[in-house]
Amino acid sequence: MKRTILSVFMAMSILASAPAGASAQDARQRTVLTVVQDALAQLPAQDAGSLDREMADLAANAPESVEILAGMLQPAAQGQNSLVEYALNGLVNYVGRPENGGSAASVKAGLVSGLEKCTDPANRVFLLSRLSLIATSGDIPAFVKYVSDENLAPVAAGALAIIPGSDDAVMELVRNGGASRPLLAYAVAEKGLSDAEPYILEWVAELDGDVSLDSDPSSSADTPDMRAYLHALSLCGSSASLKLLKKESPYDYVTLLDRIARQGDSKTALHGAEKLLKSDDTGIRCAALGVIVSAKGALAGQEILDALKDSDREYRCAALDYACAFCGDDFLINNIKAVFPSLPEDARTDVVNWAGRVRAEKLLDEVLSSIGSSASSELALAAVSSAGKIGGDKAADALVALLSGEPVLADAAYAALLSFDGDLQERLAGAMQKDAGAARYALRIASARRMSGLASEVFSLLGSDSREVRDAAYAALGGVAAQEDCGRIGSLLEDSGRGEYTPFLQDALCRAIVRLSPEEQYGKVSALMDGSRMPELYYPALAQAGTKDAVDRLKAGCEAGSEAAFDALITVDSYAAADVLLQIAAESAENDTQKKEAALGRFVDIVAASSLDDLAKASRYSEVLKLGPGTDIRNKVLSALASTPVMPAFLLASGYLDDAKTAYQAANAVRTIAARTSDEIDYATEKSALEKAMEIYAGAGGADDGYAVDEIRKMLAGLQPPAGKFVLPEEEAEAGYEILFDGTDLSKWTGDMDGYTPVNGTIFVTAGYGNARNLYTVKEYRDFILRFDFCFVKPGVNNGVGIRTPMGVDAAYWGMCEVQILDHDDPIYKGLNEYQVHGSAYGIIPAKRVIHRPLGEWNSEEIKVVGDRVTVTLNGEVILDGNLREACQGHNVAPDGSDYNPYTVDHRNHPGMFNEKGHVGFLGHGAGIKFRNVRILDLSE
Amino acid sequence: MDESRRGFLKKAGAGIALFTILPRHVFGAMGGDKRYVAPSDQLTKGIIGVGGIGRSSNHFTSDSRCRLVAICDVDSEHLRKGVELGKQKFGQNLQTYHDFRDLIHDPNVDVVHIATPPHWHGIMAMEAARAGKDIFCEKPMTRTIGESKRVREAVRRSGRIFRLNTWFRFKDTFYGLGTEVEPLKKLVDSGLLGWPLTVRISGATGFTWKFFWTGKENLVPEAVPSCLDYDMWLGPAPYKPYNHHRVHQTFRGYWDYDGGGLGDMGQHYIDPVQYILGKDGTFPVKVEVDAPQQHPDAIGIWRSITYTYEDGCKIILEGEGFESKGKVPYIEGPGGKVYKGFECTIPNVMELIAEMPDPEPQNTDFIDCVVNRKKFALNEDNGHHSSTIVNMGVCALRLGRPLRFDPDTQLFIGDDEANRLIDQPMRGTWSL
Repeated sequence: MKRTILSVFMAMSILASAPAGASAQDARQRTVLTVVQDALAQLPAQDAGSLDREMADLAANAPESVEILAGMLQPAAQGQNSLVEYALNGLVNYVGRPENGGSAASVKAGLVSGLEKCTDPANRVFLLSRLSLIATSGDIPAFVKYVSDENLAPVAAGALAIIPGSDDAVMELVRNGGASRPLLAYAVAEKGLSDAEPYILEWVAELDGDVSLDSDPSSSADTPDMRAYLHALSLCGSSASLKLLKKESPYDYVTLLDRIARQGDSKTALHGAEKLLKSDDTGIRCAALGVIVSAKGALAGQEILDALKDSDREYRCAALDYACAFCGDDFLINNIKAVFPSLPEDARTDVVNWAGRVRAEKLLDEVLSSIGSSASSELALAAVSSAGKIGGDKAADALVALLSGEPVLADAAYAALLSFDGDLQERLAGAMQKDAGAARYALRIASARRMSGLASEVFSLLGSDSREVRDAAYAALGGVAAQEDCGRIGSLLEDSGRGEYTPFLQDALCRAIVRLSPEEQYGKVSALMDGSRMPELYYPALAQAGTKDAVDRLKAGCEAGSEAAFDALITVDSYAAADVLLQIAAESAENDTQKKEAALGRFVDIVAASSLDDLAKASRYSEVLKLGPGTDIRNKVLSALASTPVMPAFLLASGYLDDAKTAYQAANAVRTIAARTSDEIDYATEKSALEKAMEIYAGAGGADDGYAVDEIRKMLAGLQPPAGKFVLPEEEAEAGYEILFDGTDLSKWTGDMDGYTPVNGTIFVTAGYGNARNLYTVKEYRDFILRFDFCFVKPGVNNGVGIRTPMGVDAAYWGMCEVQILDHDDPIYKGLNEYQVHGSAYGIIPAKRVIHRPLGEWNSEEIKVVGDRVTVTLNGEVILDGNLREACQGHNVAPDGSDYNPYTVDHRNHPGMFNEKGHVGFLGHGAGIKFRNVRILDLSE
Repeated sequence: MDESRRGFLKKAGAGIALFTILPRHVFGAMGGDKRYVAPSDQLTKGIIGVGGIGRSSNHFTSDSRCRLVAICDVDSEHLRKGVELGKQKFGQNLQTYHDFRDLIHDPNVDVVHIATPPHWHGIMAMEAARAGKDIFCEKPMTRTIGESKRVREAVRRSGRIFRLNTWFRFKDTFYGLGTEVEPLKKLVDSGLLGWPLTVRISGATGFTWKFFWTGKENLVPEAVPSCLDYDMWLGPAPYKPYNHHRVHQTFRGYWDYDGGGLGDMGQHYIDPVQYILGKDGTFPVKVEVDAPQQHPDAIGIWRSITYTYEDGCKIILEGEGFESKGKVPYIEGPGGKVYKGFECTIPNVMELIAEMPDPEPQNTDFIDCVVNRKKFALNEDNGHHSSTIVNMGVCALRLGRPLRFDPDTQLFIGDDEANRLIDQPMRGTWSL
């Protein structure tokens, strides 16, 4: 909204400088100037549809519309052109879209004539660069015209380089010297213009002459201009340039050889490239080999094989990289097989690495033979890794066999087997029976890969004579255990008691049952516990189950002083543990801060992950802070509060801005909440908290802190101070109305003062549903006229006004009635009973159903109560006017004393309907509503 | 050349470190660069751009395997701070350069670390490749599709090792997702989620697009500070009058140098997705944007950007403040959904994927890759692919329209204007 207003304002101020005489009219009888004006008012467009509409209008009025826009550009130094830039760039993009190409010619004409009239260099660059995005060969003269202009030359030359069909124009400039040579060289290079070669060779000679006085003649290649020429020759030249490039710039020389090869003269190219293979610059050799490979294709096999014998590893590996394209070629692979044994060891290493990378199954024998035959571990390790990648039965056998061998290789084989794509079960079962070393690795793999098919082997190794194997078997148990192993693990646990293997068995039990539902898990665990001498052994499994019953048992354990119970409790991954954790933190001994912090930290995590809404989460976090935790937990809470963008969270976080230890996290929370919340936050509080946060960010000086400062500054600029206090209109003052809420003061109210707070002149409601979450007038009333304004902030809000009600009860039944306040238009209220719509005397008399004003707009309501009659007027319209006693024929409760009352529309008893007097109350059913200007006329006085 | 330290390294292989480290000038005095003998098998590196990430504690480092010897910047203040930091951290006087080409061609530098704004990455990477230097390049690889394509060719051609510096495809918890990439890769490979898949990169799945990295319109020209060589800072970018917001840290908000949150964080977030989906060798065929109109110079915000692969897989980027409502899955397929923190609709998914083989090991030790000439896990090839995904989005966003892409020609289909954003002209004498 703000944006649009700003845009209109900008458009108007720009229009003041529009050229006169723009008077043609469009189909809607608008002048072109008006079309431009209308479009600017809508820019920048907020979506593609509106952008298209505005641009279609502008395009239909081109070139005139474009000329007007170009004329609006002010000197760049004044920096006020953004709207016009949006318009012109949007227009270029619009006609650049293939289906809108019909209007391109007139838009381009407008840009050209706009450019001619424009004098500011930066604006001229802008206009020409827009043209270059959509220019076609017909527009080339416009660029030729500016190619020697001091400011426009780079844009014009760049455009000539990218516009199709500009070859002749560029050649013309090259021949006639109409522009900067390096810029032309750029265009020549991008276009690969062969005809330009003799000219550029000439330029090189001239430049060489210029620098020949230089003390170091070799430096000529190092000037930017010379580099541009040599680069261009490499991309446009022929054999005529080879000699020069060979001497001056080897890289450009190779590039040219590549060009010559691709143009069909592979003989020349190969001749040059083969010589370069002897260069002492590895990069050049690699590139030369690349030329040969691209010229000869798979026939370059011999050069690749030669490269493998080279002593330079960089060169060998580059050759192998080229060979990736031919790794399916039998000739190459067979030749690699043939030379492999004769290669030096480091070259074999490279080949073996490569074989793994391209998964060369045909080289598996070479790979596997490299494992054993090597003196250094580098080759052997490469071979193990490649064997794992190549895969297959043979590789699997070899890798599993290595598990019993030398530790370095066994480690590598173990790593390769973890990612080995194939069935390993039988091989691992064999390895488990082999020797201690192999068994240990096999157990680890079986466990990591969750091979429950090997469970019986693992169980049998629990009794191994070898200490190492036994340890490994216990450690592996969790990975292979399945639910049918539960009983067996339970009895092992009972036998081991608090032994060294207990943690492994506990883990195994957890993993054995993990695929069951929480309730089934709890069932299994509690059955084991019931027959156990040491129920604490099962705490970790209880924690994993995480059901309410499980948490209760852990709680009982904690209360009995069991550390194990607490350790398990803080691993429970369920909201069921939240209250217990908070209670433990609250009751923990003064000196046991570690326990308290652990419990609170876990509580915060659980709340954050829960499905509670933001308000409820913030309220739970406030419970943590009330317990006075240490800095770490305070910061953890503040960081969590940043994700609950509600007003109470803001207030909570702003209380920690002054403590240096929590200031940064508090500032983050304050900034984030203020940016995201739809809640009303007290103006003065928000302003001061944001100002503090801005200072904290400014002082922090981290990479992104500057952005935070900018963001807060923007928020502060947008804050609106609240209106003044409510004053009674004259006629209400005369009639004797009493103000119940003037915008600041709730002293005439009682009840849930936390859930109803005065914010920026309104009563801001955060109260949840419930009889304790209501706000009541201190005084009681009998007959009265209540007037107030209300505003829905969120969709689906539910509240109500209690009439003649006692405190702390459900006013709809124990009060005279509840006059419903409800956003009944929200889809969640589909199927609502008519006696529940807004304005109804809830359950007694339905109101006329209105369609509510949009969210955020204020409504005024009057509720008049005289005797048994209730009249509700919403925004001037009476929506309810009826006598409650008559509506239920005097039967507010069922005559037969039952719960079913045939006389009320909701068939419920309303025992309070005939109350003589009572409080007026706002009956909270959750956040999202604001009240203001609440006043009452007591008619009984 | 065989006497150079590179020659030594090439032959040293996994190597045996034996020499004493001596200061460079001792050798210089012994007879010229060409005859310079390495003090050890320790690699050396030079950093280009020491204003932000280049001077950060992650990169401004020296250790036993790779020693920082030279720094380069076009802002003399950055250089001064870099030299001070070098003295303080390593007790060493770093060689300083103003022109990146001098650092690249310094024979004492083995590895070139490119930490400049993105509009320089292509030129510098190609120059380093031509000079036979291995390359450690900060994200994003380049700011246009054409540039990363040419870098990829140059690196391959001269047999260089190239590392693009983002890492989630092989280590660390994946930004705010609360899990590493490896289990996600296993889950996708297992087929449990079905096919095709939709990935949502969104605030709701733990990723922030840093919309504060937007540019400012109506910038007023300012005097160039004396410490900055603005012409060299711009380099290949179009000339625009200086304003401090264009350079240093805030450059990210301008199309000429970067692509806002999308351009600067995009490859960070999208590259691992490319890996997870097994799309390292191909490109999406379509990109659609939902965004307010973009200014031609200053980058603005966007609501969503959707990429579609030929097989129907989608990557959906959701802008800050425009996240899908409710519980948003990170990956969604016909067989199930996985959310932040690896919460999954498939029961016991961790147990199920444990039965799968781990993903193939990746080469994640850059120094080892340089010494033993192995391709790094995120290299010029898959880096070009993920960089291109980002830049496809940038093109569609700048033009405000959907684009179709041909993975073979690596051009947009039937859209000449869009294709002019693939190879953008460079200023002055700069070229690739």
